[in-house]
Amino acid sequence: MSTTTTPRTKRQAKEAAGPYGNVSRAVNELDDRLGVAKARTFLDKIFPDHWSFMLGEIALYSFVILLLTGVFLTLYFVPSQSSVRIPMDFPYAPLRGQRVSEAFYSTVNMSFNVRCGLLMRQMHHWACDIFVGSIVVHMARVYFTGAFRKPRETNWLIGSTLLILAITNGFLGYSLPDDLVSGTGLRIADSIMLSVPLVGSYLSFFVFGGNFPGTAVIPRFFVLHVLLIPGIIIGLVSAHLFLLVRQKHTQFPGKGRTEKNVVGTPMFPVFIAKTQGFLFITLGVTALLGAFAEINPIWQFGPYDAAKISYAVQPDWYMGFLDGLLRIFPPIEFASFGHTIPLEVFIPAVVFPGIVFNIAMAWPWIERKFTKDNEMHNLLDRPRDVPHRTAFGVAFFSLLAILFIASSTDVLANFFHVSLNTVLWAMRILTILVPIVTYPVTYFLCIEMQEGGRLIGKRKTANIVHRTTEGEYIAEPAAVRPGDGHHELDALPVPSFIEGIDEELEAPHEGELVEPGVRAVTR
Amino acid sequence: MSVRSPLTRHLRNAMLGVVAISGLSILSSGVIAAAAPTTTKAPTSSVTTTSNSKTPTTTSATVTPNLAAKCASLGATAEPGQPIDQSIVAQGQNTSEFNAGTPYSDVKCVNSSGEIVGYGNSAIFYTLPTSNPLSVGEELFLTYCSACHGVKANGVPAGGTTGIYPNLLGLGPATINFWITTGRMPAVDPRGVQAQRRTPRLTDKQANEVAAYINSLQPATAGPYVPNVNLRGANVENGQNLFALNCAACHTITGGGDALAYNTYAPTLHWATPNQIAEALRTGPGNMPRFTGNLTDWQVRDIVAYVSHSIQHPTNIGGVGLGGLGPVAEGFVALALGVGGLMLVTFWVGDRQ
Repeated sequence: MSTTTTPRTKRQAKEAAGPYGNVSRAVNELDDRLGVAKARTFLDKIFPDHWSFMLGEIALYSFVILLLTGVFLTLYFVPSQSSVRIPMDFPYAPLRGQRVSEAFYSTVNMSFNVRCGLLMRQMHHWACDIFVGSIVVHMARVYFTGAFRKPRETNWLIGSTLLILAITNGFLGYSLPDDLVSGTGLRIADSIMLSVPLVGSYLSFFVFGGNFPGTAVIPRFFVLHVLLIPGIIIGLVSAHLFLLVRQKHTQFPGKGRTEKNVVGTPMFPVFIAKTQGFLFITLGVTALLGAFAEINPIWQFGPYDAAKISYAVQPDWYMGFLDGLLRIFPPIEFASFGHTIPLEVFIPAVVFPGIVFNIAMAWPWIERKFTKDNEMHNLLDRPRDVPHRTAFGVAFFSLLAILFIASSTDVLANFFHVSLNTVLWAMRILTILVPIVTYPVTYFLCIEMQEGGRLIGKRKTANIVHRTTEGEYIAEPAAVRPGDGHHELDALPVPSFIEGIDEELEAPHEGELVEPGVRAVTR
Repeated sequence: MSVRSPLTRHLRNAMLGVVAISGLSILSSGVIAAAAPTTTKAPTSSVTTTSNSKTPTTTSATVTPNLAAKCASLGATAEPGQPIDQSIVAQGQNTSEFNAGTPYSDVKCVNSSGEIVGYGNSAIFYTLPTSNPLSVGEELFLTYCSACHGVKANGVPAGGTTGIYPNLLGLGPATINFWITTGRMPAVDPRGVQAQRRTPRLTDKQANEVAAYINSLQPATAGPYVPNVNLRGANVENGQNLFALNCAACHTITGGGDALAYNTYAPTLHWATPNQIAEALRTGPGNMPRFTGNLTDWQVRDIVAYVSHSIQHPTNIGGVGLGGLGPVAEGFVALALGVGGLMLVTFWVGDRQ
């Protein structure tokens, strides 16, 4: 820096410092030591722009909110099942003087006596529901557009693992307040463990540190919920994002987009501004929900006691499909050789989710078995162009959706004044019927849509209706008016959103601006 | 035609997002203030919590002035309640009569003809309904009830057979009063699985007159008289405990009620009056079990206090209560408003091509 002569005036000093002044000097100093200039490549990372590519960001930012609000909650939550008496000056009268666990008392105390405590609790819970929901939506996007294909199978695997971890951690967190409803959920989890053949009782004793409910489960779940699983999630999210940067984004086919390039806006300054705004919007939506919509009012439920139970208890939505299948599964059990295996619990609650998550995780390989496609894919599919995959996905999701609905059989029966047994049987039949129906319907819809608007937008012919003297109505095609031409004969196809690929013709050069602000770079 | 550069478009979208979030943050900070603990409303009512429910005193030989005054208002003399047969209690049998809406109570009121017209204690006082003259009740019965229950109230309508409609003889005035004052009787659909609560067709006075008439028929009833709950001094904390233990398994912990098997259901508790809750507990209408031996009058009073204060006026300090439906409603809101709303935002800020 000191190779030039010492500046004599302020202006000369300013010019010598370059356009960024002290900032550039500081960055230079850093670069000399840490080589931060390499981050320039990251700032230049190209993000293809499509609204559906931002769904994963909802999950990412909900997770950030979960971490922030969760840290606040740990300051006030006491993970202990030792018994305390709620003081007589507690704001909510029905709890005054009750003997409850410290976990329950600290949670209601946080809700009533800690400034912002309830807001943070509710934001945490809403953010969790949104977190898992956006993971599912993001996963559906990746699935239906074929973004999981080679070379991105690893990231699909990481993503599916993240979904399982998110669901697990959601359940653990839901159990922590030790209220009547979550205690019931814990009891069901215990029964599911017990249903596992041979090792069931050992498994239950291992988790609960003895008989249910014991006094060990809340502290244990707390450690898992705030330390272990979030740690693994953070690690996997980092790996997920690292692979995303390393392998670069997929993109929809379109103008100037090929398998070998990536067209979009750079990380800095465009994408970073947009994604920061989106972070704040996610935070805002969660804050609004946390402020105005009540979630899990545990003071209305009271403390958990193994002798007490409330009817109409459902788990949080992401456990719904499990609960639904448990509800509708016919009562069959194996009982001989001095052992009982409750298949009506073991199959729906252990075997079925095992199958579901295994199919989900192994999907890239399952699909390759059928397609024998071992090519690299950086351009996305339109769902209609891969009818079998789309149909399978819809059937799979509709099966889970029906089971999800089945977890509220009692609420449906009560709300619509239908017999609970009717609802139960309807759900049993729909569970089998719906996937069988949705597969072919989706498949043929895709085939139809592949025709690409050939049949869409066809002009209808005007009819003139006469009434005869006998009272009969006769419709005759109206005469072609001047200017009508032959519209009905050669209707223009409706333009599709994504233009076809002309790889050889339109491939832009390296770094070329496809349109202002949108750049194409080689992968 | 001017083409706007996507760069400016993206930046503008991002700026819009930032503006939107500032607005949202301001709003939510307002709510933070609103959610501050200073605004949490503790249920302010005459209900005060006491340390423990009184243990019933059945052997007291004296009658408190309050209860004596109640007997006097019925035109009867106050006598100490019937002492419970301790030898039977010791055998662990027949405890169901122990303070369970029977004259085994703190006081019983006996009129000049030797009839017990009321009994009770400081928690619940049961009175025998009257119809003056009895023909008023009879006429109401013949008009509204006899088509199904028969002119003799034995459940056999004219030209009908037994076993279809309930026999009302010996059920007790509290039962009759409950079914009529909740509007379930006269039934809209007499052959329906479960009568629904609706606006009562008969007034409270008429309900009592019908009950008095049916009670006058032979065989005379031993069932509970019409209860009147005295909520003063009730213990809602104890009520919450007992409610979770005895009621929530069907009515749900938030009291919203839910569907049971084969078209039956546990009704919502949000519209039940204190006396109706006590009547239901003591008589067990429909599918509901009859809670007698295991709940004292004091415990019934605590449950009634909890239902009419905390269940019927839930403390929703967290915002909109979502109907007390729990995770079903919450999941719907999270997916529709949360995920759905944020997806709309992605659609707004993202490229749609």
